[in-house]
Amino acid sequence: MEALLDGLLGSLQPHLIFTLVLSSFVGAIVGALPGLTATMAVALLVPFTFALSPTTGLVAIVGLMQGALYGDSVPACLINTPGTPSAIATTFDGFPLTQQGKGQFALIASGVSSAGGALVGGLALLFVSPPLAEFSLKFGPPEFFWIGIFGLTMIASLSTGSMFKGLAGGALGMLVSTIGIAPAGAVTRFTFGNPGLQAGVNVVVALVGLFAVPQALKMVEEIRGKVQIAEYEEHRGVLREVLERVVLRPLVLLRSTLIGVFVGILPAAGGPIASLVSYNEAIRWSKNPEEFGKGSVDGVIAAESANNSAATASLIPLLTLGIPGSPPAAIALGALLIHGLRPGQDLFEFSGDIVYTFMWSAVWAGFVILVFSVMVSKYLTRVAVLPVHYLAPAVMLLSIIGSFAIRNNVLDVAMMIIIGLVGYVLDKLGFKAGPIVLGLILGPIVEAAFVTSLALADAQGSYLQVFFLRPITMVLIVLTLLSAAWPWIGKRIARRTGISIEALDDEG
Amino acid sequence: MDDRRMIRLNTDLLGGLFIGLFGAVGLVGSWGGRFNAWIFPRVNSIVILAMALALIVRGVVRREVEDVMPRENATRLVLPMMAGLVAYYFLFTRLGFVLTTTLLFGGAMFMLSTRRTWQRAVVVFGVAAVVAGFFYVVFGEVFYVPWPTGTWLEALGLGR
Repeated sequence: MEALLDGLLGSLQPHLIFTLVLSSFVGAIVGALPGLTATMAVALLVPFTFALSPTTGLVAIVGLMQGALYGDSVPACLINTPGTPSAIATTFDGFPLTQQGKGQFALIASGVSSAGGALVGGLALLFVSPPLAEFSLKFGPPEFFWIGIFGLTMIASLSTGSMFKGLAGGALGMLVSTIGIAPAGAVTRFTFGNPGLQAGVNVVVALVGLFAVPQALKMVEEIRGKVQIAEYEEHRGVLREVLERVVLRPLVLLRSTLIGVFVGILPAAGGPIASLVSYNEAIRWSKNPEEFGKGSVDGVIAAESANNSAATASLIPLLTLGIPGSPPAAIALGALLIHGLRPGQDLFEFSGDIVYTFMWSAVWAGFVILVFSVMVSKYLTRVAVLPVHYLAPAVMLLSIIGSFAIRNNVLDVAMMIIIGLVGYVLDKLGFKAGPIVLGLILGPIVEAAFVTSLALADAQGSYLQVFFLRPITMVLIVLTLLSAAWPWIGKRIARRTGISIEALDDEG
Repeated sequence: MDDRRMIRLNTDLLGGLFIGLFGAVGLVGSWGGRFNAWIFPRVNSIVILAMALALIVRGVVRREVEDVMPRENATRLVLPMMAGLVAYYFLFTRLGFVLTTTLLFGGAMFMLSTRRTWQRAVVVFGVAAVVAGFFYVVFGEVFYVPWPTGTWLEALGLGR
């Protein structure tokens, strides 16, 4: 309780509020640019947080995530192009609303819903994480091994295009994570005689390379002339109209945010899945299902509130177990690690001031987005059509600056470029970045737990007992199998909502 | 879109061959050695090779080709951008951060512009120089990032 109150007071410090507002603003701009994902925004920012204190850096990341997931609704509503994959469902009703001359109404509705989602997701983070972290004390190496494998089942959902490619990508990420000194026996692996590689591939450098460079090159290959924006007119009293709509019929918002929280906690899902499940449920529970797809405000509320609450909820397994619930959360894990913070009960016990402040800031992010939806929406409409000839080189430049600034090392720039170019070729061949990143991040966790469990099994004389018959490992094995079945569930959802499953591919 | 305007590839076959290379390097590199230290990369290499083999077989059996990217933009824009990134690394320490960024960031903006006039060149290279200077000063002075000043300045006794 004391830590909770300390965190509350800590989160209200002026410099943290300023950081939250600024990063949410930057996130909203990035989200409003079609093609730039929330994942990429976080990947690009992480190197810059290295120079900040851990608390400020983490607050910046949560602001950026939430801002991007609000900003993505702007192109979804105005040019029928989701700013990030999480806004796919927002286009279904957001764009028809704009075509009816209600663009401002659609944007404010999505802003208010995003704010509600961020708020509920933040509260879930605040109250679910501490008990879960305490429970993680019961975990030994075999449990962490299975938790890692459970996290890797997220590959199943991130590789909706091809399971073979997803698994190969995940294994490639884990192989890359083994470069450097082994956790067992201090053996040097895959350095090819280069002493600079003994410390391994820096996770953040790899993340920037995998997410930012291929994205910039894809923007270049699809370069086109100026995008025509739908007509956008401003009217008075729209905020009041939206708030009345949400307050008088709060069920849609409440149900969608709770779906977002639930899906966000699952390692096998993320923002795009959350918004589609929520959209599907909104249709199912509606008295007027025929209005969906033709400009129903309930459709916008369901999609936007779910993706924002899922984004924050995906931080719950990250902070407590070290398992990211989504690609942006995987990058947030990279940020925790570069600040020397290890997820789990220790994080809550020894760095409680940081983690509680961070979680309260996730709650405040909801209010920041609410203010943005009223004050900034009309300016974001201009950002949505920024030309690619400025955007793509700017992303490249930020990638280079970020990767050099982490350790002031030219080798990191080389690694980022190599990983980025290989990542682009892999992307063109159907291997998405999500599974590779997951393998890269979970690889060291799984390997360390596996090697220690092997030693434990040798000492106890039973591999079966250590790896399969402990009570928590049995539960985790069942969860892993259920999670691995997610693609089939996802396909059913996609079929019901009438969307191509490829539309759900990787990042959020 | 017209088939001739798109690069179309058998992504299963090529993907299997490409990722199989990493699996092969991993397996050869992890063969032998201490069991505990090498078991993890070895298992991953085997998984990669198994998936690569499955993809190659699927690619050969199905013979499906997919649209990968517009042909014209691939050679006219994407390849030069990729070359520019590689060039950046090699020029970074030799010319220094400011000069390399001005040349390649400005060059990229100019190459991607729809109108390539000398007036546009002046604007984009000017913008690139200002951006490079901004990052040099902000990161150098505030975050103490030691940007390379370039071997040519060092030769003149002015760099660090």
